[in-house]
Amino acid sequence: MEILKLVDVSYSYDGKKNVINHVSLSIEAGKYVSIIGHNGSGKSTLAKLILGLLEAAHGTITIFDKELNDQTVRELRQRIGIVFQNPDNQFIGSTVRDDIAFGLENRCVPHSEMERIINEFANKVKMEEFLDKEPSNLSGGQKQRVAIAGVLAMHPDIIIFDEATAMLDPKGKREIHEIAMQMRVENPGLTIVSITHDIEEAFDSDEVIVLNEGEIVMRGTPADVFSRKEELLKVELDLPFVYKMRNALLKEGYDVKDIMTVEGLVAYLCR
Amino acid sequence: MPITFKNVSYVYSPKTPFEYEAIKDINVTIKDGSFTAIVGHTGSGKSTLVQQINALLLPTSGEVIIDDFHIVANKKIKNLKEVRRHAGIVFQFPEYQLFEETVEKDVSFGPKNFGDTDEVAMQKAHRALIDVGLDASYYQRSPFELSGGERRRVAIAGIIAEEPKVLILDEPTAGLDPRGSFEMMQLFKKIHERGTTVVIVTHDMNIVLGYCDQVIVMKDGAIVKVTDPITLFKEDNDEFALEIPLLYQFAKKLQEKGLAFDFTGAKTADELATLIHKAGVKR
Amino acid sequence: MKNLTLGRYIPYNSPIHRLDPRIKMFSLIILMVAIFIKFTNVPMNFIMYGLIFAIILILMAMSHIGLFTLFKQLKALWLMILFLLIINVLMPNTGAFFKVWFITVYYNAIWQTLYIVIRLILMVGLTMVLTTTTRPLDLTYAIEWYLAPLKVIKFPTHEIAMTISIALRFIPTLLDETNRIMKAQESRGVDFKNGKLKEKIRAVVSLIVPLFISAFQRSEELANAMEARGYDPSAKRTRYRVMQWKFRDTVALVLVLGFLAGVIVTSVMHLDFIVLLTPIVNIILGWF
Repeated sequence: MEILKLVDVSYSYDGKKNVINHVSLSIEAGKYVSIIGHNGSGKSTLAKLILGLLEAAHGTITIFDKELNDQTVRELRQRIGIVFQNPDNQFIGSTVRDDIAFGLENRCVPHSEMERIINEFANKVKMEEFLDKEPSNLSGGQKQRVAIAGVLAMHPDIIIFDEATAMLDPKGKREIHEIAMQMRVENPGLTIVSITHDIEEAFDSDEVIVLNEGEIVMRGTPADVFSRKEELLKVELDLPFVYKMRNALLKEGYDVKDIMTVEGLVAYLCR
Repeated sequence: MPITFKNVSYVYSPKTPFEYEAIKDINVTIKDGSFTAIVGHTGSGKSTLVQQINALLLPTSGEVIIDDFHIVANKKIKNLKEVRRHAGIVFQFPEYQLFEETVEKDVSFGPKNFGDTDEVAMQKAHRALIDVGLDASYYQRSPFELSGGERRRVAIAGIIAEEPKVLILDEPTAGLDPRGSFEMMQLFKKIHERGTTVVIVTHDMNIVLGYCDQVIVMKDGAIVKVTDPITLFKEDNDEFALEIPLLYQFAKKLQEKGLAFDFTGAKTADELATLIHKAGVKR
Repeated sequence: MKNLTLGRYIPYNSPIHRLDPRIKMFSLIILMVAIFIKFTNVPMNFIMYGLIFAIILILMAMSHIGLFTLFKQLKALWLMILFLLIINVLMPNTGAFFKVWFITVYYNAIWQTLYIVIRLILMVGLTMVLTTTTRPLDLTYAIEWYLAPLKVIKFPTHEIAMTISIALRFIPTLLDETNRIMKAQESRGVDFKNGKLKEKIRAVVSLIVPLFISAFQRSEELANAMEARGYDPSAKRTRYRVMQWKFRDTVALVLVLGFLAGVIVTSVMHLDFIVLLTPIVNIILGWF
């Protein structure tokens, strides 16, 4: 079932150059899709267009079979959750509790339910011990976890991670990635769109879309996309380590063409 | 001459309820002309340590010696501007420090503060901009109309314009994509090859492996290890909570499975593959 | 920067801390009014001020605030107090006076001056009790509640309250950022403390411009995040933090209103405690 569909969408900030240039794509429900591209390729603009924070100059965006426009945007936003890049600039509440509550307040969740929901989702992201802490006492990774809790509490059908780990240290990156994987297991129907330039993160997804200069240049499973080394380099992207190692071993004459995992390579070499 | 720390400690907000000793009794020498990495968990005191080098923070006890400059605790520092000129720090997300109307004005801000005439300052600015890869077409543009990556380069130009003998970098590749990250490190490599001592605070072990010759590991305000990258990654068994480069993780997995080979010296996947082949692994 | 700790909220679980912020704010205003009421004669004024001061001391003891904190706060104002003292004492006035050298000092001027200084001390003390026992955010909720009637004339009470609460949440973040930018500019040779006026202006500009730019970008990202999470100030919303009026708040209200009534009566009926209490004191002394 197609949950998100863009048809010939274009957007420009200055009216001259298209940051998103006639992009068409569709995403199926329940999939984990990574959209990768170098900084400036238009990835974040795409996220904002889907959320209706920006209005496409051209083309249509259809979500849950409804066309995105002024009348439908509020309703559609209720079913999409987004975690932005800057941990501070999406933390609105004065404490963790208040921030998770913010979304609930907007949704007119009855007061009597709020405490239970806040505790439930703080637990899900392992922030239950920090409920009364202020954001200035939290690390970037912790703030992003709170953002995720706030998003999950709304029971969205789609979650978009808009470069959510770009400003985090390796530990923080890992925490967020683990939660995303956990979400995938616990909510099989949830569609996850991960916008990133971190190539290792894209490795676990069902599908990879490569963006460059506002256009889709490649699309397929990770195995497909990452075996096209030359094209990736041309759009200034790197290869995940596994593929680099695989290519290096291929050059040395090892027959590892069909192996796409670290475990596979290790097993092969140590047989 | 190297940078030497002698029994250096630093306490934040002394005599208040927020008192906190960030670094305790540090003794270490950063070799002259080296490309040294300072690594450790968040909160281990890395930033506090490097800020002693250009006297942004003054030690609450101990002494810091940078070439001819002696910074001693509780003693008034005489030639502060000279110290600042000698060692420049590029903070994380430096693009947030830009403020002038044009790129060249912003880059020449540093030299002017250090006493250069407008003319000399502008010359230095232009040279620095070429260094970071921004040509003359950028000089008159407003920094705020540039992309994030370009702004970062302008900010870095602003620090290297004064040609400091020591360049300190705090997570310079934070938020950059792979290509941006690579170009940034190549720039620092170039600066290092000119004779500048480069000190980099980073979490990215791939950078440490690829560019540095000395690593200082910090933990809870103290130095726990001073060594070279290869030795560090060979030995570390989660002791220092560092993210070992994927390359070494892979090599270690092979070793665990019984493959006996010395992967010392491999810095890229290609080099490692060659070593694997040399170790006699059958095709 | 350090002075920001004076009058700052100190978490504790005292009876005063637990009072509803609305009653605390109301009490502050009422007690401020009481401070400005005039009484029968000079000794009465000092007695009443003494009474109010005693109340403040009791409140401070109940909220676990040391007297020392009050002194520190006043120390910051000592220059202003001294200035007031000198200027007012030398003002021409009516009534008895004495001469020091060529300076004429009226007794009434001395009293007036002392009134001003004491009132200042009392106001500072009262405000301090409020701010140290009440979270800024709770104060915001109280203000929002008091301004609620203005919604009738379409006054944006909710939006203002939301803006204030977000501003409060960002104060530590902005302070950190200011610190960071200062350090970055200091690394470029800026000296924020010394230097000629022209240099100092440049120094301030190199701090203010980046802060402003960053603030604008921050607000845009925040606005996007709030919109994405479904925020609509004009639409109906429920509230997580609700103020609950408890019995103790009613008690406090009664006490405060009672005190005000007593003060007004004392003033309007020109009561003089000394005159009233002398016979009683004599009777008590007579027992010994």
